[in-house]
Amino acid sequence: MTEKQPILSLKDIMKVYPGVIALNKVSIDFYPGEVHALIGENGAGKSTFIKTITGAHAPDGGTITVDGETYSAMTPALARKHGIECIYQEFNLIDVLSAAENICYGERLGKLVDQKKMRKIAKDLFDDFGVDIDPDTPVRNLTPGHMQIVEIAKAVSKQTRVLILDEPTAPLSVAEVEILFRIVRRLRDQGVAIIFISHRLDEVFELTDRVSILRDGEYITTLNTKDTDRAELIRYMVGREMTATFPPRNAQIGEVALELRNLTGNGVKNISFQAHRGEVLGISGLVGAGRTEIMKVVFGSEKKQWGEVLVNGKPADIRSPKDAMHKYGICLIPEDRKREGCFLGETISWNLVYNVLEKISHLTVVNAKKEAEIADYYGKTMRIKAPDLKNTKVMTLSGGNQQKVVVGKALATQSDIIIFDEPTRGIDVGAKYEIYELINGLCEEGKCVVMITSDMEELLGMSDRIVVFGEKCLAGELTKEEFSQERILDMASTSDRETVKKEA
Amino acid sequence: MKKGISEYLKDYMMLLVLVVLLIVFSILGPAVAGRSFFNLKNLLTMLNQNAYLVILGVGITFIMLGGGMDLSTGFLISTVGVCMALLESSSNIVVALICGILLAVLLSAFNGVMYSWLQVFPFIITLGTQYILNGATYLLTGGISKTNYVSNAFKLIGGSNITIGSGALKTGVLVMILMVVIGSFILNKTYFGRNVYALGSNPDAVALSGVSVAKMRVAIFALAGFFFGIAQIVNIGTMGGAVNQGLGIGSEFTVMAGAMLGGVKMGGGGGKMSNMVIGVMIIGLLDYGMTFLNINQYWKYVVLGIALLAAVTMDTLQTRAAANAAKKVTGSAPAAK
Repeated sequence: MTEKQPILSLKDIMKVYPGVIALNKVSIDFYPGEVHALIGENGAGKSTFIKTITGAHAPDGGTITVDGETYSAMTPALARKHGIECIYQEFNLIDVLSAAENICYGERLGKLVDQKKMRKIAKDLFDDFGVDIDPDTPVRNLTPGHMQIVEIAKAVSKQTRVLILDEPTAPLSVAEVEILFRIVRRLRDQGVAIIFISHRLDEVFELTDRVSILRDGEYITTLNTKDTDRAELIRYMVGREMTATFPPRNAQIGEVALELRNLTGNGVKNISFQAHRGEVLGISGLVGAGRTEIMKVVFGSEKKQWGEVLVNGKPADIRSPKDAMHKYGICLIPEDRKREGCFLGETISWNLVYNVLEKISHLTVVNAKKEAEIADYYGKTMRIKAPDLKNTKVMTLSGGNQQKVVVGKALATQSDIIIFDEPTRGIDVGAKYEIYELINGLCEEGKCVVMITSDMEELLGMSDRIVVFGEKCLAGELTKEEFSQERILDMASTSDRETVKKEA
Repeated sequence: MKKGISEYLKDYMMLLVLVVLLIVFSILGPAVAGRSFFNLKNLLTMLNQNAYLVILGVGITFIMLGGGMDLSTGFLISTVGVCMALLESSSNIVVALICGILLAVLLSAFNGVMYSWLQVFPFIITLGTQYILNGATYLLTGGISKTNYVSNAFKLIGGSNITIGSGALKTGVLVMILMVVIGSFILNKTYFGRNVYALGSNPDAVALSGVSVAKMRVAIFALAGFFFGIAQIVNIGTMGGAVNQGLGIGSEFTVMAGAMLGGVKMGGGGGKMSNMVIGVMIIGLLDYGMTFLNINQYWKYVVLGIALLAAVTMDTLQTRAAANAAKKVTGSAPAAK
């Protein structure tokens, strides 16, 4: 394969975001007729790398060579011109149009819309793939697997030479994955270069020829898939040095505060674990594993299908976040602070008291004095840095201070069980440390902290125990002595499909 | 936080526009029409004419701040007006007033229920109810354009005169002041009011805090309905007690335009009761002033449209500038080797 010319070659690609180096001099070559896996943990830089190829991002340094032509940055038009197509996790289809119309969308097949010709193009492609999809079906009536095949057909109909598949198997059933793999192999044999992004390592071994590993924006290595094994890949993916320091905690681990028994809902199945007072329970898993989803069920903002939540050993009937916060003392600090966590257009004190307004109101009129007291207290405990709490709008604050507002707003409910979802995402090192100190403080007060995090260092550094999620289910639990990056990643990247196969 | 001059200018921009317009008409009045414009009588007449619009505006402001909109207001109050007139003639004034307000609350709450249930932008829902109400009003009156008269007592609620100097203030203005005060109090001092802002600003966060978004929406529309009902009572009074199917129709646009002109954001996200009052007053002043100057009424529409677009343009540009400023990163790109 090495004697062939790469069709796409990226050299020394740099991409810097404020405070983060997303890609640091990453160089990878892609050859025609190969399936090339791109793997790495959450936040390793896979998506940024893909966006550089498709022209969605301009890199801050480095070059991209396609067909012998070198560019400092791609544009979507340029990518299209060179036959680079990407299929994202979210489908890019117009759901009211038929499969055939979607495939031919954007192509001019003559002066007027030619239904017959479109139908033929679609039919030929589907036959070629060996799938039975009616070209006239509106896309919204198709299964996710068939939608994806329409996406691929759409890409292929444009003489695609580089096809990028971003987590293509995530929404598919086992049977659909087989069809997808068959199509991918066929395209490979026709000389298309395929970039395959997946966190399911078994699929990497089944489908790909070579595999490149990214870690924290660094290029690690490229291997021939047949010369490596699962353990080696995991070692490369996690081989990071632990550099961050965490404040010491002096907390007494007490009784069980929160217990889940086969809790099922919001797409996640049979989750059971216990969380104690004075303890930080880390929840790990890859993006989309269902961690946030199940916590929303616990918090009452999503419906429970079956299973039980127990608070302090007693069954809790949580039907809304109001029940969770005011009846059972559970609060949630959501991962997306801008969308779900706070009201950006309002002031800091406005936000801090929002959850307890009813408590500080008499006959629905808000007691301004109590409001100021509460805002003042949490403004101080959270160490929110702002000119003043009453007039400063949250949107003018830095990410770290915004996060402190969101945390303060949740803590104002005086809950005993605190669920953090990505507590330090997108905030600077100083603010991170303050959040860690705060979490320690909560534990020392005897509160129970459940922390969902995709940051491996934070997970290992802060947790007393770790629960690992697989895909929408529980993959395992680790005690402090068993902590290791390899074990966590190994547990998290085991797919359903593998389990199904093992059982078969 | 200290406010700069530009901040103050932004806050009081529309008040300034109102004052400038008043000055312009006061100068042009004697020059063009040969009569004095700036006198107590004219100002009072203007207030009297706009009282019911401001009361409607209190309701509309709640709806807009909560992230919604309402196209059916004008038709709703016309239905309510006709019902009140019919009820009074068949029973008595107390029944008419109570049932009228109740009906306004229920009809508006219906909009809220549909909005909560279907979760589509209320444009389409209130467009639907607008048609229903329009038809219902004609059905109630027997299909012909028929004017009903209310009793003097009814008329006097909003339409009695209080002589002040050379002019007369109608009681409707007092009702207006009361309603604006009540509306502002609910909006600023109660947690319901907080939730109105919260809902317009970030419904996802509201849901996560345990407040029922659906119930809030129904409550907001129901509350707005109360103000709509009061507005129509005042309107009937200032119009001299004559009620027909057309009374109030079209007012929804004037009021929404006024609220937006004043700075209440369509789809939620900010604004105060005072913004709406000033905005509606600007429209009222433009209307009255241009009539005073004998300007062709079609020009009024053109000017009003331009004013609205100008206000929206300015607001959008400011928001965009702020968003861009927030996105700017300090520092420079790393040097490439």
